[in-house]
Amino acid sequence: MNSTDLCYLTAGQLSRLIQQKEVSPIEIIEAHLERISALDPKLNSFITVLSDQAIDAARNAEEEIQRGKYRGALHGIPVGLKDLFAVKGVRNSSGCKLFDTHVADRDCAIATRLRNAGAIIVGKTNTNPLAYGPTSDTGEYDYGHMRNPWNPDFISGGSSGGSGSAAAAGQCTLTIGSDTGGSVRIPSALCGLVGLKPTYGRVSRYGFTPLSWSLDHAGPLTRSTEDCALVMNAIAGYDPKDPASADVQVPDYTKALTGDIRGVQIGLPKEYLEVPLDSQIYQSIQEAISVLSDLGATITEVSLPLYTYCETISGIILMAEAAACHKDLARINGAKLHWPLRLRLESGLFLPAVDYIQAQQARTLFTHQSLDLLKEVDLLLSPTVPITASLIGEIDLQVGATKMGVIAAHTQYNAAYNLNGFPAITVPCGFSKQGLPIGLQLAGRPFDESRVLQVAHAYEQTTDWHNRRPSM
Amino acid sequence: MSKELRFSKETFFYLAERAGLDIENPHMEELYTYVKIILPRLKGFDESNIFNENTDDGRFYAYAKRILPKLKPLDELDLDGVELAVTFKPSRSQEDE
Repeated sequence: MNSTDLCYLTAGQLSRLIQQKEVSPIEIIEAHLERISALDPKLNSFITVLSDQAIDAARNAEEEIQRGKYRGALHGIPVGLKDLFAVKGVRNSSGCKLFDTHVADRDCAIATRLRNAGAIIVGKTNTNPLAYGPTSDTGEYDYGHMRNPWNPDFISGGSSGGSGSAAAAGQCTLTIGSDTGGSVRIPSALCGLVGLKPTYGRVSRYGFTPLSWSLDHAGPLTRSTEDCALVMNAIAGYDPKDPASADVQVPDYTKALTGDIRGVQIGLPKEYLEVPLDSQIYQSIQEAISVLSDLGATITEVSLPLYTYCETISGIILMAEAAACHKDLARINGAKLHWPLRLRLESGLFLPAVDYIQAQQARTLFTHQSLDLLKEVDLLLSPTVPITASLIGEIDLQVGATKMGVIAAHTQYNAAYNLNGFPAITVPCGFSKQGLPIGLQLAGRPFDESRVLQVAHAYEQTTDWHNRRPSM
Repeated sequence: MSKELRFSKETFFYLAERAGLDIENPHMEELYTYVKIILPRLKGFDESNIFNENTDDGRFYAYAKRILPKLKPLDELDLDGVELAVTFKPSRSQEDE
């Protein structure tokens, strides 16, 4: 097996080879570090690469495995963390040059749990400053544009864009991102990956730079649904250090990957098709519905009327909470921030408290409506993004018959599940004529990631979109 | 609908100072422009009578437009008596039920 093939194996596949001693963690890590060196000048996926630490960790992993202490499916697997998840002794910039010399004095909860599972952190991935924004539309970011492996002229999405490009280009087996308005799912969809935003409270956010306390989530970006399940097995669970963490039992997510989805009820909210949508995306979603139907699921049209208020609700909450979170940063060091970030943080200081409270009330209504709808069906289906990746620097997009701003276009289908906190996954469901990936989003009931993974996996196993590789 | 948000420069500077921002900084003019666009948008107001893209403020106008699309105002909803959102978070005992 050549080095490129090794870098495109999933964690599930690599773990089987490691257990059979057909490949060693050292070989795996060296291959990925070489690939990072070769491709990162073009993709800019990483802010920090941890070559020496990763090699040391690989030696330890190899020794442990030789001694018979195999930690599980992530043992020896190379992972990348978005550069706002703290790793002890490593720079944690949060995508801001202002924090270029900031070194974390502790591990975030996810880093601790991944290390306990034997995973090897090979680097910190690029992000929009403070993860505030899903695109690369406002000039060069502090650590440069994150480029899409399927075509580097296009964005990889955001804000976890470096995590998206790194996983899609085989620079890591899997990565971790944060998702406040779609920042795991958007880059996953645009880069042809599986990305899961778990239920609010399911995965600890301790040790990651916050943006909006009530909207922030953390989740994996992977090249298979199985890998998503494996990562969730490692990182999900109660953590008293995160005030939002939920004390809810964590299942073995791999047990949901049966391939059998007969009898599953899936709803397609009609409001999702009343907003701007590219015809190629629409076609891919229709084909995906057909596949799911052939697998035995029932897809019906449903209604979620308050969806049409989600952009307003999330816009107000994000603006207010981000300003509250980072007001001192804006006040003291505003001039050193990327100018759109500065404006967005500062403008939140002028938002009336009544607006924020109304938004939280409206959020309650939306959450109740979502819960009611998920009594009728098991899952909700939509495109992940209504377009494929946009060109770097592109500002206004044509989405179907509508011209709209690039940020609004990218977040259209995502913010709803940050508001209600329900689990949502994106899985590859096609490619555009330009060869850019398309994502299918499936959202489920609170803490029912298993159902979301089950259906995504069954769909994935029936199609081959996830097996395609960008020609780097 | 064409409502205008009444938000004078004096009010803006008063609030900016209270928020701890340096009101002597020339950047405040940019921020004022931006805030005058963003706040009406959040209320579903049409801000087209406030600015247009040909003014010197075009950069901020264009950026603000991209940040938020045309939004549906929450005033349309009946929020009387609705509690503040508490994100779904069952206790273990609720889950066991």
